[in-house]
Amino acid sequence: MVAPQSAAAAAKGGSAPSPRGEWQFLQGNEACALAAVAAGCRFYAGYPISPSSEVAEYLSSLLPRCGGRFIQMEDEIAAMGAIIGGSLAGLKAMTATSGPGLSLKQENLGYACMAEVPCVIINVMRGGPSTGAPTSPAQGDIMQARWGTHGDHPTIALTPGSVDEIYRKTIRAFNLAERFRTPVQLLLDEINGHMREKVWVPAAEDIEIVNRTAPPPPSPGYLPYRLDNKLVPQLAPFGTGYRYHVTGLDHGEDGFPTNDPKERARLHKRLMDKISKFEEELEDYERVDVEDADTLLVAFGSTARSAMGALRTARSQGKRVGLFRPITLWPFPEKAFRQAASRAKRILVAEMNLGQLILEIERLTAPGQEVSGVQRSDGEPINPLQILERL
Amino acid sequence: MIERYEIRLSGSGGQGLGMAGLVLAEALALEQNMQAVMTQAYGPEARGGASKSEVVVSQVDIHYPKAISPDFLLALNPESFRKFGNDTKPDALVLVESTAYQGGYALQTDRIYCVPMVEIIMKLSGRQTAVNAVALGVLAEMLDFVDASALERVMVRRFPRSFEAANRQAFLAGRQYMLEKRQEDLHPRRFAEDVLDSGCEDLELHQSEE
Repeated sequence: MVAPQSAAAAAKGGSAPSPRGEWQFLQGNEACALAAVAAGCRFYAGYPISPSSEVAEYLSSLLPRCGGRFIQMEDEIAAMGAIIGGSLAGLKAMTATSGPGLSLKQENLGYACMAEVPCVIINVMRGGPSTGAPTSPAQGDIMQARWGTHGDHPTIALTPGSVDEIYRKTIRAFNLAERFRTPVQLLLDEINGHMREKVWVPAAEDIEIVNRTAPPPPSPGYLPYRLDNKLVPQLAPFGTGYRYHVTGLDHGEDGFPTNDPKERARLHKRLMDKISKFEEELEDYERVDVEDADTLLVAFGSTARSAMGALRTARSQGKRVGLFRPITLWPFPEKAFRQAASRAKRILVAEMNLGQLILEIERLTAPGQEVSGVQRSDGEPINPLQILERL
Repeated sequence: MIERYEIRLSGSGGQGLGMAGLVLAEALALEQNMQAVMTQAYGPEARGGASKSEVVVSQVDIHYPKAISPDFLLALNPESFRKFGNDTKPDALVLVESTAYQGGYALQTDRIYCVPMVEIIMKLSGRQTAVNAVALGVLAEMLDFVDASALERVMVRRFPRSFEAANRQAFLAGRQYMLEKRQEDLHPRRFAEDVLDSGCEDLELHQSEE
């Protein structure tokens, strides 16, 4: 298990262990499915893809038993479309996929950003390009998660490390999706998606659940994208007496397409602002031994576990090594990273790809700081020794 | 104090190595309150040939979840012994199905136990299906930090009711075999030789093919 979060990180997104609940021994994908149901997810549509298929497998059994719906769709694109429909009808909705599936979902993902439809996309990452290696670990979708769909759009993506954290961050993914009415991606990988370990499953009444806010009562003049001092609209569930239009085109308050430059500019700016203005609320990270670190490791997901292993050995050898582990990957916790890196002369970014997160880190480092990567794309995990030999 | 102990359970995909790993890891994690992480072969290698599951055990946090150099290896078939034996620790404890030991291995350890696990289960039930439970029974007697009753409780919980009696019998047969052997000779090397005299090939170390 990854070491306990720092108090600051716990306050910002990690939940304190609740007194009531039980320990269970779960697989990562299984924990994700259980947490989704606990978070209130009642609609799943997906197309099986390794290494994410167990999420669908478990939900196909769990959802019908709690009044939810599970649909295996004809393909990845349709699955993304179906969860947008399910969410617009008022249910908390999700899908699960891997890199190649996420490629196919991008158009509809953009639609969900534009139409402001809450939904959760579980991406148990693999490599690529194309079908790559379906059963091997990789972290290939760091930039696809951020920029895969076209146009300026906000992105929220979370990357848990342990199975326990997968449980907690799946719930958080739903809460953030509902709170900001936007798609939220949860990035796992073949290692933490498939490994099994102890998970604290809190009692239902101890789980913090965020639900989308209710719209004003139905009226002939209902404007779905009307905002009252808030950046997030209050769309009514379809089929509950409201009549309105949803589109992927630039639209006004009534939801119909508009060519008015002012309205379009206002829409684009608001879509970005509704996330960027709340970066502190979204910030979620772990910092270990950064206070005196002259070498700072940056790693996320299962690779961060290897980095922690390397850090512990390096520290026992008297080396001043620290770790910055982003848990919210997008928006990247810039401020927290800069603080963690303030004393570091060297920054080492470990990731199972040929250099994706390192681009963001290079953008955030000060002149004089040396940035390099520990990278691997051969389908084998980065192990602690590989990181250690670079420290 | 166990800081990190790596267990690899290998054999042919389908012999129940994933289930054995799950039972062992869950027993250690939930029943014995230790830290345990379990991983298993995924994809085509999970079927037939040489397959495996791994359990990393610790009394402190476990970071890297996979075995780097196993402290304990179970090999139920020759392919898995050949494929997964070579990166074991120099003093690793190795449990091999007697018919799977074919010699010519580059293992450094001399703590190799050959146990006729397939024969034990065939005598008991006439079928090989619970050979994983026999292996767990043997393992429970080889590793002092493993509580056999914890394993039994998890087996009851994790398997359908109809498998309970057969699994328990197989598990007890594995334990029983080891308890009897242990009374004869506590030293693993000598013990292994004893067993080898009755069927397995010579244990001398060979520098071999990969």
